[in-house]
Amino acid sequence: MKFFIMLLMVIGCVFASEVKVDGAYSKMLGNPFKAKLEVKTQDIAVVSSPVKNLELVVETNREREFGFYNPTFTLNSSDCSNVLRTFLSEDFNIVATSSNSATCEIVRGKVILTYVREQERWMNQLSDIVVELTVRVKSTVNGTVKEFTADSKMNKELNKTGENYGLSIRAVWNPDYSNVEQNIQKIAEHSIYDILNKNLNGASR
Amino acid sequence: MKNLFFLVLLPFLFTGCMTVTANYNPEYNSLEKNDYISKVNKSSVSVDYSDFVLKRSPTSLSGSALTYEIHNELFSKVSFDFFSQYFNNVKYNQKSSDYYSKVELIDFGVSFYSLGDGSKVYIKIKYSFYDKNKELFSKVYETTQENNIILRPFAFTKKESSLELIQKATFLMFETQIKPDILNAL
Repeated sequence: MKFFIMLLMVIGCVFASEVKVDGAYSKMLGNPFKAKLEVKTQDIAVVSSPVKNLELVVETNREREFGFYNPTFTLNSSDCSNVLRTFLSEDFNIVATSSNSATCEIVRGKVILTYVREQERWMNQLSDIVVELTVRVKSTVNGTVKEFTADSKMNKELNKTGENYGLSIRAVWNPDYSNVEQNIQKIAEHSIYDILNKNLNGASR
Repeated sequence: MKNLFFLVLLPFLFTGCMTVTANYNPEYNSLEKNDYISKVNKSSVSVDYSDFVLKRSPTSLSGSALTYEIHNELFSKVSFDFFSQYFNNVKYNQKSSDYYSKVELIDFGVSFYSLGDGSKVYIKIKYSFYDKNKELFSKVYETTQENNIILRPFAFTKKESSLELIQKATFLMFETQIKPDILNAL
């Protein structure tokens, strides 16, 4: 029995939790006006890059001590193409046999976790999550090859600033039940979409 | 006798009679606004910018001495924010644009909670959308929103939260009520 518990603890420490970038959040960024007003005339094939497990660098505001270890996260570097697919489907028809092609790969990633309580190692309440990503994209559209590597840094608020009734205490409460992995996924998908929007926009023209 | 007269007059001196103007503040709807959408490049939208003022007093007992004034400019600017989420070319008062959007404030109302620091806002507008010069649709929309604030530290009056609510309610009305109608008309 003791051995079994030990084994469970070892397994828990060794395996990092995986962040799935499957395009669930980037699908919500579609533009309904574009679907109505613009006709898709060109085809493109989204090519997945080779599958590679990427370990994210994790930084926290807490010192490493007994009973606290930095959480570890892994990411599939080729999952970037899921976001690329939803982005390109706004302008192109996605056809696997097309002569136009695009591919995307996450080169490196870093997660910065800010704990509310720096000293209390048993209270894992987070006040902010920052995700830094480096993405490499290559696209070939009508014979024009475009290749670039871009960085992004995005926080839990998706880099938005603004007021939400200031310091008020409200009767309506919208708790965010999503866990750390889901939050990292949401931030990662938004930042990849943002990179593509800034660098690849107008690829169809 | 003179002192008694002033003592009777005193409460009336602090009734808080004043005019509150609801000005546009980009901070109020920047959290709701989505900047990550891939935008429409080929079509342009123009937003009507006409300015007139409407004045109303809160219907609740507290705050009834206040007079709220809203410039129609606020609605033009919020609709500009709404369209710039989806379109790259959004301008004011440009007749040569592909689409033309016009908002007119018809009526509004503000009331305060008797308990707590919250407020309730009612807005009624007339919205018209044109394809060049042809009117696609014209409709009257109304919305009622509450902010459910129980306590707001460091705020001396309830009016700040109501100003924020007026703008948030308008932006929400564009996203939930007006957007589906525009998409249907296109």
